[in-house]
Amino acid sequence: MIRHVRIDNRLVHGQVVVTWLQAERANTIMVANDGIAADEFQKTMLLAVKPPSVHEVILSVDEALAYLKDPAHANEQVFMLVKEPSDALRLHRGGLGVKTMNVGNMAFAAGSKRVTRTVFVTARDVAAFKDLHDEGVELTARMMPTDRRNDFMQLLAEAKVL
Amino acid sequence: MIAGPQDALEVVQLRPEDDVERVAKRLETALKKLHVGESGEAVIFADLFGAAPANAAASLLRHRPNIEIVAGMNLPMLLECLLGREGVSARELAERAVVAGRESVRDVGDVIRTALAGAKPAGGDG
Repeated sequence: MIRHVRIDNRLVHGQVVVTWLQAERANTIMVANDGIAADEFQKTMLLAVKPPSVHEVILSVDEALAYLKDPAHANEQVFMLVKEPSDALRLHRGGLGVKTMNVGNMAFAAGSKRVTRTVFVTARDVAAFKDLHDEGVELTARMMPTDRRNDFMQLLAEAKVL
Repeated sequence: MIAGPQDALEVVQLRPEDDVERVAKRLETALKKLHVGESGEAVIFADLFGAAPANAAASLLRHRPNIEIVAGMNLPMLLECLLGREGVSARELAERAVVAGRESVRDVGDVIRTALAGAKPAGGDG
């Protein structure tokens, strides 16, 4: 089952490895990203630096959905990492079936606006977040597991980007 | 404070608004500033293995096969490398860094308590 979906363009990194996996009792890291799934160098590198105690899979968005539907993986406690809100929307529309998604780091990009110290959104990101919200996915913004369950849509409203 | 000002050394930061790609670009800029060509050698030190800075450095290996990356950085390993790097290959420095980094971690409380216990006269309270 899916323990947590985190939208974070750093993907697997310190915060995730040191705090989140344990907090969510996850034993499998899933990176769902078409670009990385097709890039042997990045895939090899990410798998080489994974924490030894967990299983890690790097899949395209479509492969991720298929993997999760496969009964052979039913007992895995999955911590899912998604780089872009548009991929999160694809997963949701593809039948991922999670009620809450969490926004971690979203790096500054050309034309993006600041929401928090570590979250910057483009108009395209905002559109994807709106769709997720309108389609019933609760969005939170927790950097660390101990953070309050901030309502991400409210943060977007406060940042005047909605 | 200990090693004095250093030549051929650059510092690259991970900022809250960064992604891994941007840190990798900044590392590239730093290497260029140090005149390290694509086949050139350098040692990059990073904090956590598997964290964004170390992963950004690792991503450079795609085009820079001769750079070294050491994670778990501590001051003793930096001193070991900074003070004895003249004429030493990056590979050799990385190996020395790992050894120095490991050997330098000491449980000071245990060292002192053991020393104090050993200094007690025979027949002490043990």
